[in-house]
Amino acid sequence: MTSSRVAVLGAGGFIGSRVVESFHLQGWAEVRPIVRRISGLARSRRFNLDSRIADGCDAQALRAALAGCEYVVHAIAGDNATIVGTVEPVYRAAEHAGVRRIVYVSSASVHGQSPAPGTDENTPLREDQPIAYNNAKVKAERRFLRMRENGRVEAVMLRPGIVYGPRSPWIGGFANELLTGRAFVVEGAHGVCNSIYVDNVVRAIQLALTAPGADGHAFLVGDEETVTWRELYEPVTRAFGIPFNEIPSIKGSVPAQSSFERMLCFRDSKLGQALLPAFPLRLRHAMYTGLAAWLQYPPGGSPYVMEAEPAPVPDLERTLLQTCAWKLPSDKAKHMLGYSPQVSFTEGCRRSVEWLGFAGYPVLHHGGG
Amino acid sequence: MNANIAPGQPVNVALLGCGSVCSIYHAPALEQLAQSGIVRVAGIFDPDGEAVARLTERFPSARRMSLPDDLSGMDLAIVASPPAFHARQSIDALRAGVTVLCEKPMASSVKEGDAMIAAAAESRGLLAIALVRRFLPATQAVRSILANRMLGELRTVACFEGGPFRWPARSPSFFDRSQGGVFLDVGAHMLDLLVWWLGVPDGVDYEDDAMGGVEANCRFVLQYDSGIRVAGRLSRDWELPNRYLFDCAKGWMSWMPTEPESVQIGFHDTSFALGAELHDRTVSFGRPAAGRKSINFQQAFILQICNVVDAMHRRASLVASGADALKSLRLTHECYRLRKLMNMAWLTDIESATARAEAGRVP
Repeated sequence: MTSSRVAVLGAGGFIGSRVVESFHLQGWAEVRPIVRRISGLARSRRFNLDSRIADGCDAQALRAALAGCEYVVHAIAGDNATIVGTVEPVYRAAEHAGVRRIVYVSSASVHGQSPAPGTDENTPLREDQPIAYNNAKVKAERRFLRMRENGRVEAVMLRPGIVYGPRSPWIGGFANELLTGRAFVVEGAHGVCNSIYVDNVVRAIQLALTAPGADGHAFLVGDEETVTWRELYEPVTRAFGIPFNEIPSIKGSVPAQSSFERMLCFRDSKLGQALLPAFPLRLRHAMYTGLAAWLQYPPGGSPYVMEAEPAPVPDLERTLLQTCAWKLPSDKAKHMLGYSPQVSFTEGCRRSVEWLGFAGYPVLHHGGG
Repeated sequence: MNANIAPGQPVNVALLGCGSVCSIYHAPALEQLAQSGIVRVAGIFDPDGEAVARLTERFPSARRMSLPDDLSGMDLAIVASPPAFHARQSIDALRAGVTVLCEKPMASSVKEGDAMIAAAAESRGLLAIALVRRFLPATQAVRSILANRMLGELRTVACFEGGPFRWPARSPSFFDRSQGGVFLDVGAHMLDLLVWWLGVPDGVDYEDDAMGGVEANCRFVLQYDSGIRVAGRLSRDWELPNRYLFDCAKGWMSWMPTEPESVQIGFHDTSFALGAELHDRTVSFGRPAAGRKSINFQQAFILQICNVVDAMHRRASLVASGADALKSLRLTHECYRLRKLMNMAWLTDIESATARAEAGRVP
């Protein structure tokens, strides 16, 4: 494979940057990092690589960027419009460039954050899930399949679960919450965490790029072990010398929308979008910020109050994730791709904590065990 | 030559380089100063015609310069081109009798920095470096508090700056090896402040994560014979609170570059800390008092140009001269000379071996 050229779209992101790093340092392929804007080059330019700039929605820029590449890894992150909107331009540009196969880094979220027992790749997907990100990923996968039906470039979809490791929001974000006193878990974090260490994702991508018979298929991929969210978080809390039991554990609920959230919903609704342009921008901005402040801090409260931190309120995503009861299987990937997680959960946690120290966090105890 | 500028007449400014730093920071400051009749933007140069056109819209009377050394009629050149061009353009301007305000880092090498200072000396011209943070009241307050030992003897400094890289760079060449990585970029400010506050260190240690390219992360230690230890960390990769924390015998002080108008101070024997917003000193009823809020980061750019203009009129000395900047530039390159590869414990053995090989290979 070392003679093959692999374009990595989203090379500045968490997964994309590790793909670039690993493929290049392993000498597994000639890597071409592609990022949306120049500022996205910071991570990939640590290496002397032929990096390119191309927006994932800009077919023309992509054509030039993908020229000469045999394989494409699509690891573009972004808002829901970006998730869906990059599929067609990337596919068409890949076709123009004569790319053999695209591996799309989708997400296990297509099955929801708390999939029903028995869920696997054969479970029908829905586009009406309560979390918009999930629907966007479903739409993106379906678009890829439609493009493939009429196109020449092979397409393989990977559905990793909770990807953790160096630069992971699940690790760094939780560390930030811990160190600013904002961390909490839902119902003891005893729910199943469908974890996958980032290097196991990289391995799955590597296999999916060349595995025969994988074209048109989607594969769930995860770590070997079945672990809970507590097991993912504990190495991080231990790294900072914080006993896990000191982290507030709250009851999960499907939270009702706050007034502020309802206001945002109106702003984003068809009616809101139709009415709002009638008002000057400054007035809209003033109304928005003023109303937001008023809704959050309504006047008339007594100054005689005991100082207390407001109780955390779990969002829907966190509630569903941390009460999940099903370990998604990687059996299909094992059979068809030859996938086998190469990094154990314990080792993945250890490396994640080592990264926290690298990034400048005040780590007291290294090691995930 | 600079003495020929008549007081009261606007200083003719040439803008060399129309990239992001120019359009975001220098141009708005110059617009304000032009309205006040202090400067007139008289010439603009950039090889990118579109960038010149955008800036010419803001300064319609400026002529498009065909070459960066086409400086006739100019009094002051603001060199905001990529660092690889700083030395050449500054030296040409100084030799033409034009004062220079050069963006940081002042040069790509110490040799170039030396040549710039020599050119300034030979031409008896003024060479200022845009180390704009020296104009912030917060950094001046830090300097004063440390110099006067208001919190007792300084023991350690811990500083972190950076986060996911967001600067609207206009060319991928921003990440060329010749331009350095995060250490030469944001590090130019960090090292300048540290040297300005504490002096040149007696020992240094440095490591980064460049593996054939430019570093996105680096870590350094400055050691002083007095026992002060500075631990610095810069990143274009991951964000932690951007903060300088000074631990002193009696208390601590913190300054955040993202909040340039305030400092925080705490005492080891109290449970509270001061979140101090900086104000101009004034007099009220014959007594000292805090006046209006001190300048913000954007106003520091105005002050920076005013300082150069005042120096041209011999009304002030430069706050950040080429000689000042050379101290931190020397330190930067001493660090690069000593560089080691950061330990990235998540790499596999094969990856680590390649990383070490690539780190030692300069393309």
